[in-house]
Amino acid sequence: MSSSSSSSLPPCPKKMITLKSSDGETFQIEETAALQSKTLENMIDENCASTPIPLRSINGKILAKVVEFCNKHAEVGVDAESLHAWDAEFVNVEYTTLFDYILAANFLEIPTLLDLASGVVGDMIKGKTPDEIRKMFNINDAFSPEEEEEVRRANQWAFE
Amino acid sequence: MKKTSADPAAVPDDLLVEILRRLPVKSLCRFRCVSTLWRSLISDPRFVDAHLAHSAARPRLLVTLPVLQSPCGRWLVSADHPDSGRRDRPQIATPNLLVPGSPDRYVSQSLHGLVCLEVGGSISVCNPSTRKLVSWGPSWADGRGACSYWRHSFGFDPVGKEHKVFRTWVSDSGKAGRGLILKQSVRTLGSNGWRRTEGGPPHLKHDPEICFNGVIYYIAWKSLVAIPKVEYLVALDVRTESFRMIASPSDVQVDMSKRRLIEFEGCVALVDCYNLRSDDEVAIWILEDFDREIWKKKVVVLPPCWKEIVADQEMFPVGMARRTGELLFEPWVLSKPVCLFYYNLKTNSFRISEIGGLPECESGMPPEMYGLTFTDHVESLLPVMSHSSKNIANHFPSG
Repeated sequence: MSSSSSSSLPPCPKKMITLKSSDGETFQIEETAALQSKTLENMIDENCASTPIPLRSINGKILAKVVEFCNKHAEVGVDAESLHAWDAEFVNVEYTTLFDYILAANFLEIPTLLDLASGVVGDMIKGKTPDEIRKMFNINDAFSPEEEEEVRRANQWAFE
Repeated sequence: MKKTSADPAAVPDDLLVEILRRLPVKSLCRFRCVSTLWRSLISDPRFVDAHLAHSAARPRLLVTLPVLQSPCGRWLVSADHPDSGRRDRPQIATPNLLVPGSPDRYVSQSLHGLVCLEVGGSISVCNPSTRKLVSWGPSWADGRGACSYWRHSFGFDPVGKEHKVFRTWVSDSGKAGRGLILKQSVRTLGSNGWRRTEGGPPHLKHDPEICFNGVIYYIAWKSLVAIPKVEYLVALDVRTESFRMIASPSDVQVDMSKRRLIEFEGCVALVDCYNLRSDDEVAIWILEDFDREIWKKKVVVLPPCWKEIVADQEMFPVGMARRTGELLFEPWVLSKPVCLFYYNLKTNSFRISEIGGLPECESGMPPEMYGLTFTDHVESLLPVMSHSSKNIANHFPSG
């Protein structure tokens, strides 16, 4: 794409901030889009966002997606229906990736993303059996068979 | 096995909470069996609160209906409120719980997911979502003597975060001028017994109550024999357990089935549908100034489509959908399938919801007489026995 900017007519520069992932990738994001993250908003308010912000718990692959999400949700003039469709496509990923989104959204405090990703995981797991859940979440601290039987009896109706 | 960067086992507890608080109660009861960690997390009062905060934004409808043939009891079933005005898809009700015993009239509204009701001569509090129930028999010692009445009301104190059941025994002194004798006791949910309280001025409750912002409101008489019967609005503060009697608006009609207490823009209000059939008119008496006891009357004329929609059926108000501010109407004669009419006071518009999947009930009978009740209901994990959810840690979101 050719740049249309010229030195004679400086467009109002969009304020950008730079994020740095755990594996050293850097991402530029407009300040207006970044404001969806309460964590970043606080850093901007405290003038801590002039240098690249290191995000040690988020890798480049996930951070790229989070930036994409924030950009989309900061777009002006997107109607609710098409944003809904875009969101649905965004979270149409493996559940391990969804967990990454949840962790990132929690760290960056992005309520829309946290809500979206947690809701999708909730829909995925709500019909599952305890066995399927243990597999999915790699859980090993299960009950003894006797204990499990007891807990199960107390909640028998929920298995019907 | 390849480890991904987000090994689910590494999902911190507070994120697990984020996921689990969005789940239906049924899934959570099943997931108590997943592991010791999950069981303790799901039972944690802070999680119960976080879950409730989420489901409170998505109220459902709880219908209760008496079963008169053996084995008798009262069914509690839940359904979604309808999404739109279209009538193309009935709401399918889920049977939650059958409270066994001969069904009595009193059924409270659902408060934070708990319902209080009289069945088989006992008073019960149940959580229809977890299918848990606790019952207490009557204390007959209080009710000796001729012509005595047992009355209950159920409230929630948002400050102390406590549910309370109030019980009164009302008897006629039999002596002119002495009026009623009232004995009152209260039971805080999770506590061990009934406490005798002052009880306030003698009165006999006779309409369904409504509770919001920590106050229970109901209409009552001060005397059984005086004609015409003078009515009062009773305001019972759940926290302080104190009563206040407020004079009813003077020209409100006395047909109890045609009126209902509601919350209207933060005030208690009495919806009077006496002129609904003849004039398509609903009168709303709003207690605008609680301290000075000033009622304001607002008359709402229903849109012309009302007549077409309800045809020749007589309607009476059965409750309110609080999130949307809609008034709920039921036809006087119960039809199959059961239909519920949602009337929006602000937009003066209607929608109809057909409720499918209800347990068998006799049609052709007035629901009011039959004892059908409708209430807003949120799914909750609140236990009916012990009840302490006062310390909310920071990582348990409340919004």
